[in-house]
Amino acid sequence: MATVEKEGKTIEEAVELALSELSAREEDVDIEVLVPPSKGFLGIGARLARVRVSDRRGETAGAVAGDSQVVLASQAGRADAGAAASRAGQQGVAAAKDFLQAVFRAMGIPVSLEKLRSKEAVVLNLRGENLGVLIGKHGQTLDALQYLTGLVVNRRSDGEERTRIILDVEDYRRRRHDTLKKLAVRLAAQVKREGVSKVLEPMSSQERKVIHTTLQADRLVTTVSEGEEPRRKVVISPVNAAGREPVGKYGHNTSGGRAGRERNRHRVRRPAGE
Amino acid sequence: MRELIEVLAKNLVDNPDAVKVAEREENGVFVYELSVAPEDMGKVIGKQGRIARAIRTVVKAAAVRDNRKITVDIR
Repeated sequence: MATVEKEGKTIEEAVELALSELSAREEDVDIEVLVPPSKGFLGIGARLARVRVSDRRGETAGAVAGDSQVVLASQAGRADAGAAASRAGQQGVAAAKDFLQAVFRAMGIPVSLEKLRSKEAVVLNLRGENLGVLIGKHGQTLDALQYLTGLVVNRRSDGEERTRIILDVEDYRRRRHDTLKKLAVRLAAQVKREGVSKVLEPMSSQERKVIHTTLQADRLVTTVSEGEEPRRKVVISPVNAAGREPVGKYGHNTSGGRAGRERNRHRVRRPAGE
Repeated sequence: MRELIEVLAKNLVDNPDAVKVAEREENGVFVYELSVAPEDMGKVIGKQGRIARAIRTVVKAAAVRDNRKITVDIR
């Protein structure tokens, strides 16, 4: 399995360079974005995109076992995952792609899939014309599709080797992430100013997590999730003036390693797997 | 639409051959009746109907494109 790393102003440009070096087509390779490009501000802090492109051709044709192990091990060293896990991941990705392609064929929407691997999950980016229909209201459709894909991929594995699949369309997840962060900061400011709690609209566990982590460092507010799925929502509350914690209903929970007054802040009752 | 429901269901169950989707129209609403092997019911419904809800969401998104009103029943 040939692997090259290339840089370019955009991800596409870097991939292009890698493909011509491997003389491969996009369908033949796995693309991993190592460093996303950044325009910087007024040219300051601009950096090139860096991608790793692996040629998948011949991989299944029983490449010399020793060889492929070396490649997998060197990749694993970086991703601190064992070679076996990474192989299971590869199968998971193939299963996810097959499933999604079948779904899109049945829907009559031409979509191409681009694989990006982040630290703890496989991100599949969907590319095509007018894919708004796949996002749905507040990403509902995308979440449903992602949930089903996860089920299909992990159907046969029991527990340990779960492959986390994240679907994205036209950068929707990142944009939504930014929106949620801004919302969290804005509402936290309101909570501090008015001294009353604010309840957000129902969100998925991933979205709630964005709110919790955004406000984690803010000592003047505390966040908890309330209600039952799928209508669980985040509540942002003020911490009283003395800087002490509010005596919350989760105050009895003493697990966790944070010391002193940090201990019970942001203690969130979460369903398994959140 | 039938094909889509079949693809979704067959990939979730242990007995894909037992997956059947019947289609009928009632007052302008297309009703799809999904049936699976009895032991696979949980695989298409899920805890608190979470899987069923996800299937409906995806199928409805496809129906919007076709400008159709649909419902998906599981039995």
